[in-house]
Amino acid sequence: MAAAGRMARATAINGFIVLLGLVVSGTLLALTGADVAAAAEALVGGSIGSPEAIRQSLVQATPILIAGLGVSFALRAGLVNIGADGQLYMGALFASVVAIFGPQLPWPIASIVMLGAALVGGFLWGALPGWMRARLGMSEVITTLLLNFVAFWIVSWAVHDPIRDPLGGGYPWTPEVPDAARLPALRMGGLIIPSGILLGLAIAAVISFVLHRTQFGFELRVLGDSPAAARWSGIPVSRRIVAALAISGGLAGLAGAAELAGNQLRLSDFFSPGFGFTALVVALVGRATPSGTVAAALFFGALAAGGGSMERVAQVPASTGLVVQGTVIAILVASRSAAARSLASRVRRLVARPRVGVA
Amino acid sequence: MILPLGSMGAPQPDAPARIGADGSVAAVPGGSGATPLVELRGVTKTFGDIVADDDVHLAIAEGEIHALLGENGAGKTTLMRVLAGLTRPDDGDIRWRGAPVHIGSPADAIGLGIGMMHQHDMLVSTLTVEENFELARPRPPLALGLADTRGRVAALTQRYGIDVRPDQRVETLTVGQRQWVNLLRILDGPEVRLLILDEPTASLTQSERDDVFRTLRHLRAGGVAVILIVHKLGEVFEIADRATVMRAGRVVATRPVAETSKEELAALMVGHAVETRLAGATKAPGEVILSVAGLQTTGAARDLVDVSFEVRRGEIVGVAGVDGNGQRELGECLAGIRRPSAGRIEVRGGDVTGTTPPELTRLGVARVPEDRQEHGLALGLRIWENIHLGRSASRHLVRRGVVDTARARRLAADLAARFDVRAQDLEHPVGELSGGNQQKVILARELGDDADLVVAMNPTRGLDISATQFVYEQLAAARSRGGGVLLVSFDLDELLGICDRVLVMSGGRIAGEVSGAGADRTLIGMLMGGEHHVVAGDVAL
Repeated sequence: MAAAGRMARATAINGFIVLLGLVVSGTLLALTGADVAAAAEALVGGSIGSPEAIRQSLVQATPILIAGLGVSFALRAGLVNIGADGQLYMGALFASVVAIFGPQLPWPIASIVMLGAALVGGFLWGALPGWMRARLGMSEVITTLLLNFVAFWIVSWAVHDPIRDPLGGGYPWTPEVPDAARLPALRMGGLIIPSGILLGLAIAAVISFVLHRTQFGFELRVLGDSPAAARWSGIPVSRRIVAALAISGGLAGLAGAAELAGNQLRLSDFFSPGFGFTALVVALVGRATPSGTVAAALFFGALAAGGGSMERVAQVPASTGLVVQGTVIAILVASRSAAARSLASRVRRLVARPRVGVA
Repeated sequence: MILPLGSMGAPQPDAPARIGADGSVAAVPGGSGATPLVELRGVTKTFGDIVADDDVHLAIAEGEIHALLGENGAGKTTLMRVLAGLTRPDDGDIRWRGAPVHIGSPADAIGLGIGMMHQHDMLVSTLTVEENFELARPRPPLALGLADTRGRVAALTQRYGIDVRPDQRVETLTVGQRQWVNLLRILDGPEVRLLILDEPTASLTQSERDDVFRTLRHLRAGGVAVILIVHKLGEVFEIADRATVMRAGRVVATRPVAETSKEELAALMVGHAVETRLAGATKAPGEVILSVAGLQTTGAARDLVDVSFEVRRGEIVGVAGVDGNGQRELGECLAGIRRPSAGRIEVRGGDVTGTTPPELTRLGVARVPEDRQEHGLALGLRIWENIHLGRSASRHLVRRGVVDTARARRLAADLAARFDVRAQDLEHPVGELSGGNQQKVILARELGDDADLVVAMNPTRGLDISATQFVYEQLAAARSRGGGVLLVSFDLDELLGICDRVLVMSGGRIAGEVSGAGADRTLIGMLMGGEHHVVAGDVAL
């Protein structure tokens, strides 16, 4: 009961914040002299206005959802994984090498093998900073951040030389992923649903189960809440740290494969426009819960799709979508500050409170 | 200097005789009709639906030490935060020397001459002592040089006889030294007329406490008023002129200390009479359950040196000592989170040296850590999850890695009821519980399976009387069902009150042993002070 009430209230508050963000960005847009009504129409139309718009929103949401779930998972264990972008690149690298240059397998085995390869790539790229944290005491904030660059340059080198598509028109990218490995889109009652987003939702459900129903997830949450209590109760802290970051990285790697096989089809060194960092934002906005991360990823996916449409239809720069995104994040963060909480409690007192006596 | 504890009634010889006989709050405390230094009138403060302070009236005279008593959650700290400008009351007003004042910020309070020392200190561990002094006295951002601060700090430490260097990092200080730095930092500011101390003695040893009290008496002689939040009744009679008891946000009574008794104050606090001691062991100790031989550590803050002792079934063995003399390290070795470099720990004759916490739990060893919020609990997790925390090894609760949450909840509910955890339901974060209830959660988890051996470290620290009493009863219950208990504590009253024997640690060694009842406090004090060569009837070296 209480939990359902809290959930409903949180949803209402978040809806209000999103609305406020849109109003503020609309005001900013009006100041630049743009046609706000046309822009708003394009934003809504381009994100949820048609089955194609919805497909586009879901495609945009897929990598940030899966990588965001990875970041959330580590956050629950008290670990800040800023390296999702690098892990995503490593996952995409493993996936493209296996799918494009490995033996040609039939569908759906090719897809499964490719996703597995991506998982391994991201897993290793997450386990490395996990090991450095657990054994060498190096902050994962620094190591994961820096490993982004290492991963990026490895991929950049690979797509310029060993796995470059000779028929790629001179671009530094790989050949396309074969048909058998691609993630198909499903038709469901007039909607087109990319299967990558379903994969993301399934992962969210699994993570929710792992965190709340398994001993492993329980131990990670203890570790995230109080490392000292984890040590006192005999949880093998070092091993759990490595595992949490490795799984986090594995999911980010999987996000790379989902983007590769569901959208771009080729790996290049402009493959990720910062998916890993948007994933971090998604995880933080979603408060590191699977359901919150799903909601945040869908919202940011819709913003990205709608932003593109604003540029095409209303001649408003697509970066306006980023302005909306930034405004919403700023308001969200502000709304969770101590100042906002005290304001909220004051409002509640003014609105509805007869003096309560001593019990 | 060791003062006799529990000496009741007699006011301190240097106490000013300006306290009137009338203990009521409305009356001006100086019988001569002098205006009180500060007066709170009808102060009310609510947090959400919880009323922390409800129409509180309190008057403090210049040059008095006023003890503020009450169980956890009685509203003492909130009230003091109002005076210090840290919390704004919903209602009521404050008078300073008879004139209404508005204390809207800590700066206002400091301006009036009100200084508050908090229960949990506000020092920055990674900075040095003098840098922490700097923090308390903001200067223009580009002003450089610590030289004058260093001089002031040195002068203050010298004046109060504190062994702390200005350039020492705060993290290297003992708990007692940190308290001193806190206090000196307040005294370093503008002239203090009212000093508020929130449980300053909670983690101090007796001699450290004596030093603090001496300083307070000295300040009182200079006309400074002191409000002292305390839990130990003995301290009220040792230092205070008057005592105010709060319960559930209200002032229950204010009494001149000379006209009241421990029993009366305790009854006012809890609303019913309480036992202050436990009955001794009913039967002679049985077989050895814990045996420690030649224990040594390396690389600890205070290394253990050849620590050997035994605990038998049916006895509570205390460990006394000044904080930082190896008690923590001993507890950590016994709790399975520190590996000794040499020596042997046996439980029921089986070697458990360097074993893991889950294995100890399996062997029936209950571990009550010193810092319940840091080590004992994951505050953000639910109450039932915290009870599950130490019991995860049980095969009935976890099958193939999946937790049977329904069963774990039921078990937690059973234990919570048995150990009197007061909570609406077990789905709330344990951090929302009061300190006493948090400790009960730990006891429920650790003692729920009728543990054979209990290793408890300062289990009553910061708890109110009824929660403390509950902890004692649980330890006594473990003893009477044939378990052994090792109780590490900084509170000598506690050790002598409930232990059958007390080991005294000093410099990482066991300096000696005294029997629990009727032990000579002076002797213990000397052992704690490292006087290993003491020879007396009941000392076994």
